[in-house]
Amino acid sequence: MSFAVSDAVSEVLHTALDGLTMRQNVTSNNIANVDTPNFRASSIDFETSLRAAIDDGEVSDNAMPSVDVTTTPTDTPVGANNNNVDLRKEEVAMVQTQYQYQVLGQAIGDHYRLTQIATGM
Amino acid sequence: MGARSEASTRMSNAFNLLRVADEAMGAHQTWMDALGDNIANVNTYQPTSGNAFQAQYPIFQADPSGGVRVAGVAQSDPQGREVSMPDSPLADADGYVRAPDIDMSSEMSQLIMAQRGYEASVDVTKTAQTTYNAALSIGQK
Repeated sequence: MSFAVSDAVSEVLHTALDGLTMRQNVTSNNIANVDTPNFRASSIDFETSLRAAIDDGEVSDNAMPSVDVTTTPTDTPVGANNNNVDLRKEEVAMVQTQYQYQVLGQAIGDHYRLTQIATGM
Repeated sequence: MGARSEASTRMSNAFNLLRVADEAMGAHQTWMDALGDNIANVNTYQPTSGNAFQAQYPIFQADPSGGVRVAGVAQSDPQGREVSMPDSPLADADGYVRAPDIDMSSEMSQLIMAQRGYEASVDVTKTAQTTYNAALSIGQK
């Protein structure tokens, strides 16, 4: 089944899933570098920009909302090795992102199925 | 984007998570192996005419494509410590040998850190699995 048309709802879901995927990548990179000298952890924010795009009515069918994904270095204190990765924070973020990812994946699947039903497929 | 192609994009990112975690586990494993070797050689003496046994430590560097890699090896002081052991067959005319410059408590605390870092990336491989499964289910009816 292929979708030639993509509505505003699935654009938002898709953008959110892209954001969560980036967050997973950044978090796993922070965890991998927990012992790297002089390393600074980063974090991702896409929700602020996505929410703003929705509020401003910038989301429409067939067009991905223009969302700024900002990667900022985190401000956790620097420890040994001049490294500021807070492992507890990163591990919790990993779990939370995973839950959100699963919920969103469900939502995308449900959305497709609803559209299938609606169009009699 | 169709459900199936959405799913396959997401599934391929799970492989990237796996790659990053695998690379980090490898680096931490290298660190643990080096520490184990250092600890095993804490009592390896050398004659003063040569170098002491040198402990080794991997140098970690962030991988630009994500993750961490071992960029090189640092070694401890070849001078080591001169220790009086007149009965040793290696002893010089004054009865001294070279002991390695290894501090056991430092090696042990590094070992704990290396294990912690290793375990943290093992958790990421588990996340990669659940991400893969979540992505797979997007494409299913």
